[in-house]
Amino acid sequence: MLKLTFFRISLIISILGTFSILLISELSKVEPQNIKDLKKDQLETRVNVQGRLLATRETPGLYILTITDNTATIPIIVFKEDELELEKNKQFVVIGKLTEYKNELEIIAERIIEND
Amino acid sequence: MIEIILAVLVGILGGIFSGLTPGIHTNLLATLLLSLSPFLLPYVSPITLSVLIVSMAITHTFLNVIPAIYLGAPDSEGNSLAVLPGHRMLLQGKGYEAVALTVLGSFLAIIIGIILTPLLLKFLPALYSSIKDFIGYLLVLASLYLIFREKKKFWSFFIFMLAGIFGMSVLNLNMREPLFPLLSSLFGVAGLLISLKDNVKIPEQVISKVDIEKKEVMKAMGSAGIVGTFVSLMPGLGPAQAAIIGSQLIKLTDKGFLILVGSLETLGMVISFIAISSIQKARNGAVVVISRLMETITQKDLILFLIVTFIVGLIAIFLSLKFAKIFSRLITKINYRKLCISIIILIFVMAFWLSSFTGVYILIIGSFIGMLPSLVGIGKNHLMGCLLLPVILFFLL
Repeated sequence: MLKLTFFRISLIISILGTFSILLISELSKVEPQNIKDLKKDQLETRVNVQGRLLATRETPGLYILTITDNTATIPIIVFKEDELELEKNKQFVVIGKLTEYKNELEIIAERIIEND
Repeated sequence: MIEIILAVLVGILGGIFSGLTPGIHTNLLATLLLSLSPFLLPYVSPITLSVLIVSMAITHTFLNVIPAIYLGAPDSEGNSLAVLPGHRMLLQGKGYEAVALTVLGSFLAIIIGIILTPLLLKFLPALYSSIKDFIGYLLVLASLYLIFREKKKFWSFFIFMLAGIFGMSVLNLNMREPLFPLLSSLFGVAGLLISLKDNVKIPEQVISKVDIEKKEVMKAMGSAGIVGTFVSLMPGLGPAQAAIIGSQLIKLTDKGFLILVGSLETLGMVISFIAISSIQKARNGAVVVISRLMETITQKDLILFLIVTFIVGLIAIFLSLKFAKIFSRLITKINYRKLCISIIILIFVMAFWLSSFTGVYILIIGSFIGMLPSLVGIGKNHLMGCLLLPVILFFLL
């Protein structure tokens, strides 16, 4: 009897808890922000910036893009999967994790969308 | 040369620390090293720092199974599956043998990786482009087989999907280190709570040699060699998914499965060194840091990495068995009930430190989900839905 009650409680908490986390993840959209306003206390969290592609360079395994908006520029790290075909001077929305390298902020891209 | 030897030694020390501490992954230390690189690079070369990372990463893959088996606290997707058969062997007094089996798998993986290197360098680009379109379907088939071979099909499907939605939601949250609370709750805290509920006693541990048939070792390593190579090349896939696919292909005993799990994480690391050099793809955090430190990775660099891997592997065998002996001696001297409670508190503190209140909330919910398989009487491997479902959707959508 005790085992059945424990099972039922676990099941209910599991289902409700999972859907509460699903709901939180759906509601917590990352709002776009100016590159200048990115702060170190946002490190390791997801951020959203929009800007113009200035330059692209490669290392083994990575592409490093430089994106600028009217406030500042920031490097964007992209893991090499398929060929990266992004045109310079076009506008892009970048969503990714904010990290730090050589005391400078950078974004590890999760999604890059061309902004028409 | 002395610089390289020192880098290997410091790397091994880092690997011991990250391997034996639940929640500290080698990626975290490699990233820390990357952030310190502006201060270090005037004194040491990028290749030296890269060797340090290689040594640390390889040592970690040998040692991280010890907290997973003795404390039930996995720190990565790779060893989360080792908790299950490893803990079963611990309860039979064979914790040391369980560690020895994973160590055997890890070292054989280094040998296989080195033997395969010339072939992989030649065929990796073609191999990669021919399999990447099918991997999603392969994972669906492996998951369906996992679910439908269970007698209680409804519950195995339900728990797989619930863990899958839970994993997807957690990975989608905007938070630091989501994997720690996700995996520690499902595979760590849940198992410890069940141990507390069932009043589990840890028997005297026997320090014995590995007792396994050669055929079983060959089966495990054959499966690891084939699946591990393919899976290590794919984005979003890791040793856990490889272990699920590998164990569906060939039926293995608990001991064979431990060899498979031990080998896949190490093999994944070795293949990732080859992949960055041959197809220019970074497949784990340690290699990402190496690719940031070095402008190019030549075949000469790759050979150095493989030599370091082999030497560190030899040292890591000795270290793993030594630490397993110490853990075997200590685990029966400590009140297991108090130890379980202390580890649960430690995991909660780590989750709060890494991911704040969100991490603690995930730990609580995940712990209840993680207890469901034991309560309905099915295998805990269905909880791997937490990583399989997000990856399947990534490949198929």
